[in-house]
This record gives sequence, C-alpha cells and structure tokens, in this order.
Amino acid sequence: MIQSKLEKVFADTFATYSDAIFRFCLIKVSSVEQAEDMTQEVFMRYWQYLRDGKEMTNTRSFLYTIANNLAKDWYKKKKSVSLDGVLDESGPTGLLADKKVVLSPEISASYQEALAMIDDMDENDKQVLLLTHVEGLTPADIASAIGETANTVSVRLNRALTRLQQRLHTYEKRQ
Amino acid sequence: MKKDNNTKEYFKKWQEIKLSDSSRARMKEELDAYISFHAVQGGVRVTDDGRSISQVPRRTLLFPLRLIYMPFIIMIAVVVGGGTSFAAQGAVPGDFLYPVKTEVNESVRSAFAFGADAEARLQAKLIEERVEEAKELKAEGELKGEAAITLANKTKRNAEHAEVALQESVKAETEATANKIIIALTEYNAVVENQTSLVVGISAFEQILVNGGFATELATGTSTISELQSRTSARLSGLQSVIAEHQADISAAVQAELTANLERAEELATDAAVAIEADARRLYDDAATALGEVEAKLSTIGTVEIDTDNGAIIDIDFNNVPAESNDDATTTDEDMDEDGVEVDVEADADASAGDSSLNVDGSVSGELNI
Repeated sequence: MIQSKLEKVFADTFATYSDAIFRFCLIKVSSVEQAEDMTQEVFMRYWQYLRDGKEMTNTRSFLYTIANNLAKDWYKKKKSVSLDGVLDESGPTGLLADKKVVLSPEISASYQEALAMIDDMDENDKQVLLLTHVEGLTPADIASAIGETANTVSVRLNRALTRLQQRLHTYEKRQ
Repeated sequence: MKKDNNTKEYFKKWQEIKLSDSSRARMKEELDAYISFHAVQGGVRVTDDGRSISQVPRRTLLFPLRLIYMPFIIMIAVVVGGGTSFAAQGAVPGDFLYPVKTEVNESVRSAFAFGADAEARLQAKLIEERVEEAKELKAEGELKGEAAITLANKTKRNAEHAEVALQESVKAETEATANKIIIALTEYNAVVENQTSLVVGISAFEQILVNGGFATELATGTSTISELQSRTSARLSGLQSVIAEHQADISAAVQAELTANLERAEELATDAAVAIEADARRLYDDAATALGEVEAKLSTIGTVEIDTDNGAIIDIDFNNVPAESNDDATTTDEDMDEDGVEVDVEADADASAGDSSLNVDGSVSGELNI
C-alpha cells in the first residue's frame, strides 16, 4: 500500500531532520514555541508533497525551502501584528527576553548559553553559519533552499564567519 | 578565514540545540494524526484539487482521427456496399455474398419494419425466402453439409424472431402471419426431407394460434380428425403426467386451476371422439384452447420441454423460471384479484398468463375464471 510506504518515508525523514529544521526555524523566529510550531508545519507540508507524489530530488534542501517560505510568511504576519503591539513592547527583545517562552527543564544551561550567543547576531549571518557549519550543507544547497545564488551565499558566509569570530573574542573578554 | 577553537565550540553548542523530548513526542503524535487524516486517497495519488495524476490520457490522437474519417468510410460503404448488397440478394448458402444478404440486407429490412406486426410479417417473408434458397440448393444438389446447416440455422433464427414478434403483435395480425409461417416452415421441412438436424420446429407457431383462439382455422384446415384426436390426447396425457410428476413444485391454487382446465379438455376430447366431424372439430378446438391455457401457465412458472412432433409438453424445469414471468409482476388483472391469497410466484404467473396480449379477448379469460 502506498500509504504505509509513504508513512515509513515520512517517519524516517522526521527522525533525521526534525532537529535541524527546528534549529533553522529557531533562528528565523524569536521563540522556541514558534520554532516548534513552524517545524511541525514544515513536516505537514512535506507530507502533502509526499502524498501528492511530487518529485523531490533532495529531501533536506526541500525541507529548508519549505521552512524558509514559512518564515517569510511569518515575518509578513508579524509586521502587521507588531504595528498594534509596538507601544506595549518595551525592554529587551529576543529569544530569552521573550517572557512568554517557558523553557522546559530539559533545556540545559549550555542550550541557554548557545541561544544567548546566537540571539544577537544578524539573521542572514546566522542562517548561513548554521546551514554550513552546523548542518554541513554546501553553498549550492543553501542557495537553492533560500533562493539565492551560490556565489552570494559564499560571500555572505565569509563575512558572517568574520563577524562571528570578532564577536566571540569580545564575548570571551567580557566573561 | 579559518575556524578557530572558539568558533568550533560555538557551532558545537549550536548543534546541541534540539527539540525537547516532550516537544518531539507531541509533534510526532500530531503529525501522525495529520498524515492519517490526509491519507493517500484510494491508493491513487491525487493532487490538491482531486485530479489524479496518472489518469491523464496520453494518446488522444487516434480516436478523433477515426471520427473525422467516419463520414468518408460510411460514404464508401454506401457506394460500394449498395451494389454488393443488391448483388447479394440472389445468393444462396455457400455463396460468398450470402452473409451479406442475411446479415446486412436483412438487418436493414428488419430495422425498417416498425412494430411487432411488421417484424413478424418480415420474418415470415424471410422464412419464405429460406424455402426458396432450400429449393435452389436442392435443385443444384448442394443441399448438404455446411450450406444446409447454415440454411437451417438461418431459418431457425428467423423462426425465433418471428415467434418473439408474434407474441407481441396484435391479434388481428397474428393469425395470418402465424399461418403463413407454418405453411412456409412445413414446406421448408419437406424440402430438407425431414433431416432431424435441419428441421425447424413448427409447434411454437401452432401454439400461438391455439393460445390466440385461432385453432378453429387450424382444425378446419389441413389436419384430419384422427390427427386432431391423437394430438389432443398426446397433449392431454403429457400435461397430466408432467403435473402429476411435479405436484410438489406447483402450489395448490395453481394446481386447482390447471386441473380444472385439464378436466374440461378431457371432457371435450371424450365428447369429440363420439361426435360427428363438424362438432368434433369444434370440441377439439375448445379442448386445445383449454390445454393451451394449461401449457401457457406452466411455461410461466418453469421452463417447459416440448415434443416437437405434436407440441405436447413432456417435461418442466422449475429451477429455470423464464425471465419474462417477472416482467408482469407489477401488473394486476381480474385473475389476480380472485386469487388474492396466492403467494408472489403464482401471482406473477397469473398476471403473466392473463396479461398476454393474445388473451386480452374475453373468450379466453372467461374460461380461465371457471
């Protein structure tokens, strides 16, 4: 039966890529909760594609593409919402500053530390750094996922790495 | 730009960011529910708008092409075939054009015969043509083998079509056509010299005449008194034994009706045996009508086997009820009202027997209601 075969494929893909997609979503949105919701949404769409028998040459790139498109939609929505909420917003913003996020006890101290570090970086920098150095994608893969040319991705990656290292030095000094 | 230790450490920590176990479990659960709700439909992969991907026709060129050429093909068939079918009209079995004559020409003629009467008349005419063919073949010494069998099959088919048409035709037309067919078939059987495999049964048409109350014509016609006597007694004894044999399969109400008709026929036959010829013919005629009722009734509740020599019913199969007996299931008439207590099957049989277009005339149904 096609259904059971596809369910198997889906379960394998979820086991392999759910964390990576979650990390990618986490740099796109500013809360763990939203990143989880977005991850779930990515896999729902992935299932629709599987079910409809559409061709996918590279599952991983495809998942990132979905996530990237969802993030774009999310930004559009956020923009319209924040116009109303802008007067109420005060104080620090970002992952840890989001008071609505209740971090589960499972989330370790190092997790929080890492979150704190990536939090104040430029989003485009985070994106290329994550995909290259954490997930191990090639610039070409990233380019297809986020809709840029491989060349742009390479340039952005170099600059991002430089900025990261500078930041890490100052961070270390502060410690 | 090289990655220093700090950077490596940083990416390592980043990699440790994972979905919490509880979040992952919840997500998996929700996704499983989602994928079973949005399951693959019926094993066919479908798109969002419900179109099947695999059902898109790939080669659609051939069929439209054929449609485009169809008028030309028909024109050619008419121009070429017109002459052919005219030439075929004189063909006899074994000729190259004989199939054109019997299949094409006769189908066309049949298509223009509107109504059961016209169809019956046409089939009678075609049987007469078969007789001519038989005579021609015999004159050439070719009435044997394949040709004779082909001819016999065609004749039998014409007879079957005629029988069906006669069952539906109106009374006034039936008599003349049935007689015509009987005469033609008798002639045909004489031409094929009564070879068992080539003979075509006549009894069905005699039966139609009997059922329709036309037996007087038949009785005063070709048959002698002794023929009438033997035929009547054969039918009577045949029916008596068949009904006795299948007593268990026939309901009491139907049996009573059948027995009443049989007894009446027996009385009439006994009277006829001692009467003067003119009265005897009339009595045998009445007896034949009564027997016809019994036979008609039996043929609606089972498949009857008929002796081809004298038209008597010699056996009946209740496992194989004729399909047409159910066609009249919804129609009711006076017979059914009188036998209101009967169960479905008999009610059907009653309606069928009473509804037969041959019996709409009062004289027959009057006898039924004894």
